[in-house]
Amino acid sequence: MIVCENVTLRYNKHIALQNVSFTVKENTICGLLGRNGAGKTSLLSLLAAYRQPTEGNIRVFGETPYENAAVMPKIAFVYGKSEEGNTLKVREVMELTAAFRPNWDADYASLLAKRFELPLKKSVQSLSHGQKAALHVAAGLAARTPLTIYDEAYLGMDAAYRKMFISEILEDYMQNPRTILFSTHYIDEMDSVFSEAIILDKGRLIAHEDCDVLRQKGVTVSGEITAVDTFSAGHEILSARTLGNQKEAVLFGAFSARERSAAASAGLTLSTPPLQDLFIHMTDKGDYENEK
Amino acid sequence: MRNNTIAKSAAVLFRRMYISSLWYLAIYALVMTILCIVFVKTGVEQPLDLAEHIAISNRVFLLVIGIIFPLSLKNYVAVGVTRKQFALALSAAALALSVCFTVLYAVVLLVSGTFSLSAIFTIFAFALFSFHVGWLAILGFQLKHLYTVIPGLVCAFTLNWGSGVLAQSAINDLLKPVAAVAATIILIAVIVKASRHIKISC
Repeated sequence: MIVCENVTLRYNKHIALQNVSFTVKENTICGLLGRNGAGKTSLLSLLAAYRQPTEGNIRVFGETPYENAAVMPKIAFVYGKSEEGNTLKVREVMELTAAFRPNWDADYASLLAKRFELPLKKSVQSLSHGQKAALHVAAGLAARTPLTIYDEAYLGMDAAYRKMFISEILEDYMQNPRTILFSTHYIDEMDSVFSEAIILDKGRLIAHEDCDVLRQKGVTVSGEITAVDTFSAGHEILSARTLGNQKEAVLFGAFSARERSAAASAGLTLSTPPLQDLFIHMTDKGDYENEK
Repeated sequence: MRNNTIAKSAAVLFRRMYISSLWYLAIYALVMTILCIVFVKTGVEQPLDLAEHIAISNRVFLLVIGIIFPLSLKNYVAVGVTRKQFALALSAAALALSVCFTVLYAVVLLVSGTFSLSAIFTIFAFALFSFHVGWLAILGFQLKHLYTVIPGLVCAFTLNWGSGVLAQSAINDLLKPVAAVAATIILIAVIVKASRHIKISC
């Protein structure tokens, strides 16, 4: 579905992406995570045929997407455009998108417009930041392209709309499976959506794994303070918080069955850690590859 | 499917150009009416050569929209139109708009009793050429390199100046529009080829 082989992208002297290789299978929801300036938008813009890589190959649906009339209509790239000077009305934007997207679902688009309370007769440039984001994601959902890319598309949306958006993505995906790539900083909110995650750091790919496998790289331990401290000794602590005589710590590293059994015997509760904590650690240290 | 995309894009682009043109014509008509009233009131002896004035104004308008409309490339790439399809669609839309302006000009010539086919063909050819000269000027900026910006501007200025000289020259009236059409075809080929390298920013 998506194949990147040794992709490098340079903007003059700045290296935005370096030797990035990965494959994303069909009908997957994949999260693309990275700190600011990691190269997420650069990578997504390559997949959307907005530009060509400096080196390496990209194949989407088995072909190079750039200037490919057969592939480009199958890719929707949804991101926070400024829309400055866009005098089109919301309804006109929907109609324009519908004209070029073969899988456009007009009924679904109308439903989304109602749900997101989009004023159809208002011009796009006069919409609020959140309303513009709602319009972009609604158009992305209704387009039903085989590959849909969301690059922090819901920035500016309030919590209620974000929740609605996540619910719509999942519901529509169940009925109309397709490949969705999600770049987000709201990892806590979105990690239940992804089945796999790609993590970039300073232009390099540092992890591409199933989310469940990724979460196995760490553990959340909670229980009585002394017991937690004893269990945590010798392990990297990503985060810790205390309430009364109870403590919860997120630890990085794999834990054997014996260690887990010992924790249970000590009255500790082990659970999978938040992906966000693991992500922060992996991109903070920058030496994840060595630890692997 | 691909030809359908070009046709659809051309239709959308033409509709937007048409709306811009209506504004231009309305403002132009208002300005010309005011000028005529002023000339009459102040007793200016030399009347305005309306046909020539319209021809020059139309060329300037097409030049200006030739600079502005290519900037909407990003919106079309965003819905899956390739740069080549967009370039061909925009040229087709410009061709349609040039035809519309030519029809209006023909009406003016008919009313003024100076109708000639060579004048009609000339206005059409130069209007279309002016659009693509404007496009060439902005193309250099879209390619975002100093070695495309400066040559693009220089070529555009030179071509625009050259077309003005050609229009005023004593060359055979049929050769002028033929030269303009030939130059337009070359410009379209250059623009379509160069457009492939335009990078879209997010």
